[in-house]
Amino acid sequence: MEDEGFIDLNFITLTGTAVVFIITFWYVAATHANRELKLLALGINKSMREDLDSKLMRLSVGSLDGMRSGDAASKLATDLPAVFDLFSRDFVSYFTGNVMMLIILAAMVLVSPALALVYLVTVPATLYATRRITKKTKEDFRRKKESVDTMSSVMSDIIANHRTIKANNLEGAVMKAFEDYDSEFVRSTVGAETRVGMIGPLVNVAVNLGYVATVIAGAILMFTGDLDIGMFLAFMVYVRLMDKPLAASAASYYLIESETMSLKRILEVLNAPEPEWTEPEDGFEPEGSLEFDGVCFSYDGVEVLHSVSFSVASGTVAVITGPTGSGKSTLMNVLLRFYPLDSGCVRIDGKDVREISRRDLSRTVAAVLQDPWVFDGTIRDNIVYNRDWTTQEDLDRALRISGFDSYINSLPKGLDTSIGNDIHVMPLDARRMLAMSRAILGNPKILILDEAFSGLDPITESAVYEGLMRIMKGRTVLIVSHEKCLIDSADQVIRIESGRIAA
Amino acid sequence: MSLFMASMSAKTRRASLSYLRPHAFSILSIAALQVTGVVMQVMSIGMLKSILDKSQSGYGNEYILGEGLKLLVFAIVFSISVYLASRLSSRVAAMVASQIRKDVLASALKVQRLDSAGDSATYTMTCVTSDAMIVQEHVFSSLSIYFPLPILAAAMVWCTYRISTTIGLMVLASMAAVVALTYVFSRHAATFQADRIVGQDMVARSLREKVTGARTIKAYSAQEYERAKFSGVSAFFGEKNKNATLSSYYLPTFTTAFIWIFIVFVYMIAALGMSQQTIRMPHLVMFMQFTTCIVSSLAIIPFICIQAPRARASMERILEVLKASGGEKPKTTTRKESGSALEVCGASFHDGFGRETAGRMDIAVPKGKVVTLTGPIGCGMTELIDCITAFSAPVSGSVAVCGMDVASSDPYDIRCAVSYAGRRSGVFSSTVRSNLDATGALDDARILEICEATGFIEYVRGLPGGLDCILSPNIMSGGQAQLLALTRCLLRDAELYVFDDCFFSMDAKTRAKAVRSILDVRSGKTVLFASHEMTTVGVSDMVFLIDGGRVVGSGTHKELLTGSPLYADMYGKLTGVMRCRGGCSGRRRPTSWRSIPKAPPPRYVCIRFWPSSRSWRSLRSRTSRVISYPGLWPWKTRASSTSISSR
Repeated sequence: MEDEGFIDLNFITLTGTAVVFIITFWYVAATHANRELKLLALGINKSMREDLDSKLMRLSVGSLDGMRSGDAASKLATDLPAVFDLFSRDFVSYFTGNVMMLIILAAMVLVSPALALVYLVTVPATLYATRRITKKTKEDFRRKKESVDTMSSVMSDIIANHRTIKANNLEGAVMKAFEDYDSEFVRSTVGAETRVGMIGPLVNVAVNLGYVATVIAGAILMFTGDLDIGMFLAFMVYVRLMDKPLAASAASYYLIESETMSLKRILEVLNAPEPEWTEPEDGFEPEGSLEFDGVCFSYDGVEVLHSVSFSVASGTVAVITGPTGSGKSTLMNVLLRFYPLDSGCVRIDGKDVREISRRDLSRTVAAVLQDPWVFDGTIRDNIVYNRDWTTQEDLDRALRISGFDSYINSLPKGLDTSIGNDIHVMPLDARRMLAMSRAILGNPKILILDEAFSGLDPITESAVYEGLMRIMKGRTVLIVSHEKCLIDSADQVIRIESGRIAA
Repeated sequence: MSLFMASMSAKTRRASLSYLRPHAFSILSIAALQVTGVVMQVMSIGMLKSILDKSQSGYGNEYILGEGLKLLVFAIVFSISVYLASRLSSRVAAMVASQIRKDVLASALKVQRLDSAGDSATYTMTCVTSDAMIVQEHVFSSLSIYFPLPILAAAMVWCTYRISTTIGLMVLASMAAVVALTYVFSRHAATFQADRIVGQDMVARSLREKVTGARTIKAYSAQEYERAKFSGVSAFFGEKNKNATLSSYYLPTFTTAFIWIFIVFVYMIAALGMSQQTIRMPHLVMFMQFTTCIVSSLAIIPFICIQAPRARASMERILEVLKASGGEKPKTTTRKESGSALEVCGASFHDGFGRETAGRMDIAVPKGKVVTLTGPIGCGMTELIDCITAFSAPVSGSVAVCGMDVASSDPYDIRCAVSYAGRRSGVFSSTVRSNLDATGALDDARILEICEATGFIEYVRGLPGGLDCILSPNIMSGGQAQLLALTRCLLRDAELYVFDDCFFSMDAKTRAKAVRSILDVRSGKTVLFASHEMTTVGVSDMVFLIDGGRVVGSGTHKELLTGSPLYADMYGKLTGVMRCRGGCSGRRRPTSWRSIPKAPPPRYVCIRFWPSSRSWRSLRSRTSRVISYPGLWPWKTRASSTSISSR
């Protein structure tokens, strides 16, 4: 630019307009691409959560029990948005950042290979340093995520035992222990963040060193006349532009690390082994006789049922009894096919339960389990559950027999009262009666009552028992209990001691 | 940061500021460091001009190298200040998050009943750690990354202003436009974000139901039903998520395009200025440097746009939880001398659905007696027990425990006098010892003595590590958990022992032993059994029969048997009228009823979880796991927690 005085105005306008057009085009293209990307990520997110949902239902009861501690499912739900961010933003911005860097580097080489060489001298050093830190931060991130998980488990433990803590005046002790733990947690997170925080400044030092080197070299080259000032200007703009992708990739790196962690956790669940199972054909209409034949079952490598054999004729009332922790509930779990057996089999009308489809099994056997499950919804939803063909008469009858009707009638909204698992307004006895109504609504051939009567008052208990016996006439009833009166009134008593049938 | 603050409601802002205030000094230091960083950056760009000037006017290489050295110093100072700033920010952020967690916990512990705090609050408390994490990350990036942006921008505007007034003003105007845009957007996006969080919570709850309800879902083969239910929730969330996402995606590109177009205009003006000799070449160089610097900083805007509203929503949720516990005034306990351990006068209560119980209850329990409350389901007994343990107050009338009126006394004092074992047994994921004696006040001999008395010792003996074994609610059977709660209750030194329906999962022999131990250990203290099951009526000095919220009969077991038809009916049903019913043909007498042998050693799994193993592994494993966090529950860890894979 020797002739500084002369600048063509038309040329300026033309270039300016061209650049504005290019930018507008870029905006339209980039926005469109971005939109497509978001929609793609939304789609991935949707299918991922639906896959998770159905996967959770396919997993075995045992592995789901493992997920109960620390509220793993809620954690999964917080992982989902993190993975969404990964796909919708960070992954691509990381990628485009790197592509941008390459393009800028190429432009630099085109402008002045000598200067580009000088600038690039700093790059390997930067790469090496960031690699080293990255390795460490991976470990940091893992530990941090783990601490976060443990932290929320601690929190849910406290929430779950809130009443016990209050009743025992343990607030101070809990608080103090929590603080100790928290300071440990803070130390670990600060460590992780500081190390990650180092990447930015480190890149900065490198960029600045590159900048310094370039300026000096450029000045010298200009001094010797090997570089003209216009080229130098363009080059310096490129050097500055390098900041942008570098900053963006440093920022997204931080996020990508923790988001990948979330993705891993979700994939871990999605890839968890499912019990191998081919669903048998429907169409089994049993009478309701039961047979346990040499049933062995181990839980975590420890055998808890040792070759248990007994049979219950259809239409009888059998009580399974035995001391606490002897394997009574496990027997019921095995009958309902919740756990795979080591050896032996459970038969209904001579047919192995493993050869009965889930649908048939659910029509045949209904169970009231120890801790009745109640989901978010109305009481009606909870009782009718997935049997939408139920008539109001069936429902009324089930409610009457389980003794739940008077409770329902005392509620202002009756059957349409909303309940939920988190709301503790419904006492355990009411939840038991709800579960019982749910069980008898389907007219099962076999009814399992796992300590379903405990905690009820004798009048209710005997009324419910009486009602049940009336409708279960000719059907099989299995009662897990240690109530003497129930044992006395049973047709058959099966005693389990340490996972064996006692005489 | 400022944007984040500005987009919040006054209340949220005030609360957020109150968290930052203790760290004012650190924040000021960060500010100083960031300003230093910016000054260094501006000066190093300034150096460029002088180097160019000198190289064009023919100074020697030595001079250029000398200038280069200065530039290097600037660069190093810049980097050091940025590093220190990020370190400090990290500390501040972690402290803020820690404070938030402690506050949430403190408020959760302040609430008398979590169910009264509302369903959503209970749920949120479990999410609070991740919320605190989001806030922490936001505070960190605000202080370390976003904070220097306005300073840098101001410096850049000032520098361009010095070169050319017109261009400086134009740069200022465009920056203002970008800031205004971001602000408006941030406000706009916040509502979408809040909706999204609601949806996200719903998804979380649904997924959780799949885990807790696994057995029921399988037993009823309700997979299709559940899937249909979930797809509704999923669609709701998808809708909200889409709104939140599509409200934001175009903004970052838009601002960048806007700034670029603006820069092109500025260059055109600058070129004109050069043609009129008002702007010199080195100025243009610097000017280009400044503008590219501004564009580079804008790369961070997308991150602000997304992180800020999310952090805001998290903060609001945290405040919601904190608010839930507010408004409870501290009470001063006045204690009257009284001969009764429990005095209930004309009291009525609220049940779980907020309805008032029908009758008025009057009960007087003299000190040192063993008393049983019984009655049919829904009689108002649970509500009364809630009052005795200071979880609620009577609607009308009064309840006095050991001379302290429940409505006007500090719950802490009442709970000092009352030791309570409830039907929710409360097993902590910690050692047996800290489960039994959380305060660490008792020695092992005493703990073992009481365990021996109640029969809990048999369970403890079967555990590897004995008292040091880490428990989990998942691995204990119902009866074992109830025995644990009962032992814990007896270990406390109190005036009134309340056992609320806490025997029902025990077998007959265990129950008999447990009841016996209560009577032996109580040493003259008052014992109150509340049970629908009537299993303790025989050992009680007095029985109160409750029905419809009032006492319908009181006296000894024998007196009531003859005096109250309801009582006689209940007891009769309990002891065997039922055996005459049944109505099943072909009934067979049970085989010989032999003495119950010693309970088998329980099975359980204890896996040490932190800090050595991986959290997600638990998802894969079939085992139930116990999360142990040394230092949390074992308030006095006498030996390091044992880790066992299986017995």
